[in-house]
Amino acid sequence: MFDLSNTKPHVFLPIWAPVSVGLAILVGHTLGVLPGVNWLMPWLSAIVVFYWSLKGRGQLHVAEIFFLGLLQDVFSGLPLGVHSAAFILMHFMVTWQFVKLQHAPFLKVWVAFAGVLAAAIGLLLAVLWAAGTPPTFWVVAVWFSTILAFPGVFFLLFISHKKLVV
Amino acid sequence: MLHTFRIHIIFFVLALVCVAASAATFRPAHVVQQTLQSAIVPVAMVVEGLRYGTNAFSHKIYTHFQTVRQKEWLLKEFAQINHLRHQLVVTKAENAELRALLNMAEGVEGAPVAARVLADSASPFSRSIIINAGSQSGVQKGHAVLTTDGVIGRVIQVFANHSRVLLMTDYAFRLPVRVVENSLHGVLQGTGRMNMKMLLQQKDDPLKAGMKVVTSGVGGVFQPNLPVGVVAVGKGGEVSIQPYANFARLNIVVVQTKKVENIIGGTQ
Repeated sequence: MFDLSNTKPHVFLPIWAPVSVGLAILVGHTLGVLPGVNWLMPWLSAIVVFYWSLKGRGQLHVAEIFFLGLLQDVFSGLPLGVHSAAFILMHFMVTWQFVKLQHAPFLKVWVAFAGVLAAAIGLLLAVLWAAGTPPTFWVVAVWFSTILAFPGVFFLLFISHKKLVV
Repeated sequence: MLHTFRIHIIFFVLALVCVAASAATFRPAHVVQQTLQSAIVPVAMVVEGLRYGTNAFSHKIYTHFQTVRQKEWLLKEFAQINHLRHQLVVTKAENAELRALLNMAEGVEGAPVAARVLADSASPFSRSIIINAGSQSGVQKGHAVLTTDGVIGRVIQVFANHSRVLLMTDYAFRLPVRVVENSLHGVLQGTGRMNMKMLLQQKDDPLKAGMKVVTSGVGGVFQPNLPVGVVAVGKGGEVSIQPYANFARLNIVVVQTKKVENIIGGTQ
């Protein structure tokens, strides 16, 4: 259903992929101000990084991920590199399991995302802990909310992706 | 694959170095952070504007729902207050009536018993009412029943908690009365209508319109000088007594629980 492997990317696709991650960071940061939502706000940029790592192979370079992570760190006010490390881990895990996930049914992709996200959040917690800024355990709630938001964001990205392939 | 793996490792390590430098207050790391922050200032300003807008919008929505909730609460409160106000009006009216009855009762012999009219059997054959006071309240057959305006009738049937009162307007009702202006004695007789007849003992002194009629106290059932009605003269010259009490609006009445003696049918 979500297979675009036999298509050629449009010239704008390599631009759109990092821009969409940046947009997800900004949207997440903007909506995070809503009362009662801030601790439940899905980690949208993680979903976007996962999507482009899986469906737009080669569209999102590790260097871009690194700098986008820095951008998220600046917006979050966290030590630089925390989100970069988490994003790179996600990208690596997807690349590592790419063959298995490339044509997998959506449910399997969803489960794989839950695992990758858990690893990324785990790394994020560990890094923050080690950096001397221990996070609150509400971050676990983010894992649930991000998994719940995954199908919607994935579908939106797929639509935009479909428009940028021939 | 090895190349990809190597690139990942390089950037991952770089990220961790960044974290370490940032956390260890390493000056170059702060310079980088400050430079990055300075670089994204325009974006950050736009984002802050959006954040402010989102916050204001969410606050508006929150305020809207709060206002709706408050409105619902106020409507409920208003309905309750309206209900209480209605109750207050009823209670006030009842209170005024009872106060008036109490004032009137001061001049009544025997302990007055206030009662509420439960039913009005205004049939063509009898004019009577049922009140919610009976033998348990000390009501006896023959007791006088009054309102704030004056006499309305007497008890003719007594049950434990109820009594039937024969109204002055009933055809069978008789009451010894006196005209205040000329002290004429007579017997008031019901006619089945709202006015009554007065059977005079002395007919030489005619009745004039506006003369006041009170109980004479003859017979001992009703104490003397209780207001009964006023003399009215019709167009054809026929004389009738218009009762003071408004029989159409009987609600709370007082039973004069005076000991009844020598009355046929009375419980002695």
